[in-house]
Amino acid sequence: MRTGTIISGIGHVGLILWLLFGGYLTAHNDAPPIQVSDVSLITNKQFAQLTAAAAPPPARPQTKVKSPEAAKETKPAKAPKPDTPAVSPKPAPKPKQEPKPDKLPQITSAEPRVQPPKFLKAPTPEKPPAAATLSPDVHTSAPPKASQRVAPTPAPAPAPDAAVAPVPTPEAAPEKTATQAKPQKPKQAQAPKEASTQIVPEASKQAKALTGQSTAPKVSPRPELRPETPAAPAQPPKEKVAKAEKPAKPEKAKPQKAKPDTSSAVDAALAAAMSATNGAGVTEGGQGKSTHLGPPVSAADTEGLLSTLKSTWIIDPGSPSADVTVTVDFQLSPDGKVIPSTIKLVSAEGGNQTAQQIAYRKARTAILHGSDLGFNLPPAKYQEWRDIQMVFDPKGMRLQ
Amino acid sequence: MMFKRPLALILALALAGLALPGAPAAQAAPLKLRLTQGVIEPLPYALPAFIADGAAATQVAQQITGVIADDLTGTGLFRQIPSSAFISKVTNFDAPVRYADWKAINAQALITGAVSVQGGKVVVKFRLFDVFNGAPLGEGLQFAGPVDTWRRMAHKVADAVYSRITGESGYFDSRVVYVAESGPKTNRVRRLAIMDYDGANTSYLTDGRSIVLAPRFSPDGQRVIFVSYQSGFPHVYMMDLATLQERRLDNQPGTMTFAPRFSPDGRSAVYSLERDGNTDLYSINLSSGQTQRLTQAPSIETAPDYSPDGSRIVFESDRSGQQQIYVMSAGGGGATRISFGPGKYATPVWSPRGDLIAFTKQDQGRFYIGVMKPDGSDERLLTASFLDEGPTWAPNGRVIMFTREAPGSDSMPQIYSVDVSGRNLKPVPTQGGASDPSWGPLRK
Repeated sequence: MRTGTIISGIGHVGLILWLLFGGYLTAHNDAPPIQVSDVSLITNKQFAQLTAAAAPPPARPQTKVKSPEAAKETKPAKAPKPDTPAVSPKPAPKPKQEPKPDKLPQITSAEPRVQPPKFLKAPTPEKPPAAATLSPDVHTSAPPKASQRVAPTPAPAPAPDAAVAPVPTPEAAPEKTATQAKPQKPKQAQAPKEASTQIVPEASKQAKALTGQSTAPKVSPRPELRPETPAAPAQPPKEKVAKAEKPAKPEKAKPQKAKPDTSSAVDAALAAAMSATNGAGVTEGGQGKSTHLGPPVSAADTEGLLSTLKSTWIIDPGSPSADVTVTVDFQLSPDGKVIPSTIKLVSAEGGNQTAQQIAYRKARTAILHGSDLGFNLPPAKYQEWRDIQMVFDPKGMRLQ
Repeated sequence: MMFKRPLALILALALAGLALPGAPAAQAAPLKLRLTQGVIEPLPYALPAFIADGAAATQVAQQITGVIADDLTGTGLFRQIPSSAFISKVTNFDAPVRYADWKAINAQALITGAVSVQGGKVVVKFRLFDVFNGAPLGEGLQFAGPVDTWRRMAHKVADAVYSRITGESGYFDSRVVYVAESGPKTNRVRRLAIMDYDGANTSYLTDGRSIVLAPRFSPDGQRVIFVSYQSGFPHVYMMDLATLQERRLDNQPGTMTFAPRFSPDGRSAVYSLERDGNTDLYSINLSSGQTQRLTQAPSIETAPDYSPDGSRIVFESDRSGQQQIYVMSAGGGGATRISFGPGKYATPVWSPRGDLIAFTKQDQGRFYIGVMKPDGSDERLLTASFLDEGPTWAPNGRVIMFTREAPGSDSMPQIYSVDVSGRNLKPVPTQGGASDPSWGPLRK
């Protein structure tokens, strides 16, 4: 009995140990490589944000704040009742019910207050981020992309050239700072290709499906659709973006002082290069900067958005607000509509506070109006254009 | 199996923990875009007829709505959407706004209002809505006054709307004093006249027996300073607009005075005084009558005007050989020439904003109204014609009025206005000929 029990016990213990360590070792080898990427991709808050963004937007909160009318606005059909927000449905004299906003029983100077509340941030303190955005963005986007695709072309580190960038002529700068300016040019050269992909699909859902197609070819019908092509052009820009990012890294390693100069040089070079090619609007700091793994956004992709906003952004050159450049953040839902509550002023430069308020309101209106008209963004690249930071810069339209 | 799952869990957790530091890097950076061009076009607005509160108010309500529309559309910055395009009808001032309906017709602003008349008193109330933001733009406002002042109330509503949308103060409830001209050129009758900024409510301040020139409003809008030939020679007079009483300011025999202008505080005035063939600038304290000589040059110094802060004076002088514009301190001395373009520069007027100086320019037989910065830079010509001269600024510094005259012996001068951007050039309706306008402040 005892020996039997002992043998059985040893056997069981051995089995258990084998299961434990053997399984541990084997499982250890297999699991990580696959799971790592999956986990980091899937579990992030981005998905939560995604789903949140996809959910119906919470509809303007501001509307409700001011008056009861806004709340009622949603009720379309009911004609008679909604008139008086007050408590009782009296048949009494309607005219007497003066709404609370009414003021001044006599003629008084009508100097109005210009809604101060919306303004949250002062213009100057916000500058740094705007200027700094380029360099940090380059950094953030650099690591992931470099690791994935740029491995083959790592060597050239022309960081010092960036300093040469400030050469006067716009064209010269990009050439010298090859690593930085180049990425922009080729991107635009590729724009036509992207444009073709944009025009092709009428059905956005199919396009969406096709993006998944590259990794998981589940879609069977309609093999003719061409969105495959973007995959090809998509890579080169990333290489270039990565190239542009490289100089930033080496600089880091070297002297940190050089950074700001080059970043501003990059900024200037990019701005010059882009504005030279596209009068209405440009993509700042490289396109498809986000760290999403989808195909990057090209100039052609954003052309629709920019041209729509160009048509809805009303500028009054004689107004002090024309001296103000505002930077506005906003988020789009997958159907390309603006989520009004996400429109936020990031910074404002120039003019006084009132002018900045007006400039922001005009930009906000342009976005909301443009959203109604449609931005025509490629659904397949939603991850790339979901969050947008738009600089409304009326410099070129000021009175000269 | 029982053991393996927890282990896998632990592993997964560990891996997740390892992955955490990298998580922020995976967060999306916004797509950065820059828009450098927009459109320069009037902002479309909807102005449903103000609701009349009772039959007595029907006509006034219509008139008030019309004046508001004229004011706003007349700026060139707003475009009224015809009521035939409206989807929503506003029949109740307190009714909720269906923003979608107004959005659908591309109205960016919606103005609703109501008018009531009780006991000879008219009450106007209005609300302004930002259609695309789906919210009221400021609070509702109400004005009340005698029925015959309904135009002023309409102007006040328009001023409030303008101000809320543009962030600048309005200029609709303001008046212009000018020289009304009638009769043939050889025997022209010139009278001081005053009117609303839009040409309405004209009244005459002098009877035309003596020639009057260069009327200028005081900063408070209560007085007018001008040049009259009552004595046979030009001299500066000041008139109280409430009583129409006038008095001569200078009292130096053997001199001529002209081109007067109030200081920003209204306590003093600056003008040109000609003595023995030489013209210089002087200032006078309007209470004490004490004068101060500001320039001392053998040339002609004239057309002075203060900067809005009262610290400097801009004027024209031919000390360089031809008329040019100079700036000096209000106390005199240290004049600096600021105009250097071809041709002659005259009648400089400082913008109420302080950022620009408007002037008359004559070059190669044509006249221009232009603006430049106080340092002389960024000169822009806004108009050009056979004869444009004598600019005056709207109280908000946004619009310029001036005199335009066509060639011909029977032509009459007319007052025109132009936006500081050079757009929206148009005549101001006046009764007969009109020249030398001076735009007064916003009324209180």
